[in-house]
Amino acid sequence: MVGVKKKMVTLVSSDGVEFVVEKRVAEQSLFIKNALNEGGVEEKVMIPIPKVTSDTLSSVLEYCEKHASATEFQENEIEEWDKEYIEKADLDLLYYLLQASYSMSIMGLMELGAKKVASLIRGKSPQEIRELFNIKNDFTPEQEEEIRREMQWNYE
Amino acid sequence: MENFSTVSLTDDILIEILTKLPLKSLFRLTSVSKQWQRLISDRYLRNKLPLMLSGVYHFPHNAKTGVEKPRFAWLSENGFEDMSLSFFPFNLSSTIIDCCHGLLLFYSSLHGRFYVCNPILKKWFQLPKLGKSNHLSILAFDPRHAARYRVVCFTGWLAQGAEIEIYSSETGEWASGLLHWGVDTDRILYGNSGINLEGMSCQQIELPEMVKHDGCVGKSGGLLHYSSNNGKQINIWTLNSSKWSLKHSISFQFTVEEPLEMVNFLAFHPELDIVYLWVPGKVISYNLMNKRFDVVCEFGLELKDAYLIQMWLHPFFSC
Repeated sequence: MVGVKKKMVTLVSSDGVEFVVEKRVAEQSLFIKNALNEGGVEEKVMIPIPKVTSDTLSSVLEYCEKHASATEFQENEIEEWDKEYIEKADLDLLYYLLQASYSMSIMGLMELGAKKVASLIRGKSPQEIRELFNIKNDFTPEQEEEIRREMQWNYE
Repeated sequence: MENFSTVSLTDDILIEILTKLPLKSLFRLTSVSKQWQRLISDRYLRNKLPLMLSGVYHFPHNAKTGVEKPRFAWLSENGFEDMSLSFFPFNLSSTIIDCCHGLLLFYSSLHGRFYVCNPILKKWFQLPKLGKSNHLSILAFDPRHAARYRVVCFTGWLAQGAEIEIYSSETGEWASGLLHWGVDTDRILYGNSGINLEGMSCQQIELPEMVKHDGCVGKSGGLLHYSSNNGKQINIWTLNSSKWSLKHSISFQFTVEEPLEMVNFLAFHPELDIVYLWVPGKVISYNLMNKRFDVVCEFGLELKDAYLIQMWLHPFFSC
């Protein structure tokens, strides 16, 4: 790659931090890819990423970097990497990663994050899920009783 | 307990998460909150979920246990999973008389009552008493179109038609109707007819070939399909502007591993050119386009002799 100048783009997080990354890394996001196509070829491109903070964006870019060079790795190596990557994210980061992957259209990361959250939900009772997501139970006791009766569930 | 300290998940993200959950646990999560309840019963979410495979089967006559009642099973992450019908109190005193897309229609002659059961959700419902004698009952349900079901009872045969009673789960009542098929009734009993329950109209469709061994009518890709099994091969016909054309023939000499002696047709995929077949010990899918076979599910020894009566591919539903 000596002598070949890599195309770089600058991404700006919602809190104003600039990240200079290779174009092929940034293009893991369909949102950025489309933005680049629309904007034509420019020497210095600045793309604001609204609603994504620098902490989250740096983690998102870590994912994009790995997946931009996915062809250099074995499939199971990438899988293993994905697993470790999502394991080390705490719940807050996981939530922000989901939001960011949704707004930036990074389908692989969306899948990975959604699967991880789904694995946290599995086997939990509705009450435990409310606690996990900070959800307010907005049913009246009567409505709740009605659902319970209707479902006749078996809490195992 | 550690939790998400932030604002709530948006619908879009929550849908992505919910579609990753096993279908069985999804049913229970409607009670989390109104947002979850709304999303889980939403058509959009349902369309994103994989189709469910469920069916009714029974074991052959057994010297020890005698004739066993039909059982209901569905394909989950754990394979073909038998769903006990013991939640339904009239299970022993009534008989399954029809089934459709995962719902079962029971009739108890003792009580003179119909019951509709959803074995996956463990829900059952008693229909209001039908004050007439009944010759034939059909359960009509297609969760891809609507979450309601109908029960159609033929209460009297006329020279060229029939008196029917239709129960609709929407109204919760039986309504009387008359059907005219324009030909003598004894002919229609050996043919095939489609009834439009909305307009109470009835259309007669001549089958492209006689039923020899086994025949099955189904809808796929918006068109009516007919499969005819003559014991050597299965012919797949499709009806296009009132004309049948032969779409495909599946010879029993195909090789999954070895030529098969017995193949039963099970179901059409509702959208794709895929059919499902039952061969001893397994359910296989056959792609009509690339002629590929795939094993959908293999049964353990205990299910090896089971006979599948009917099987469906249907979306997740909660009625």
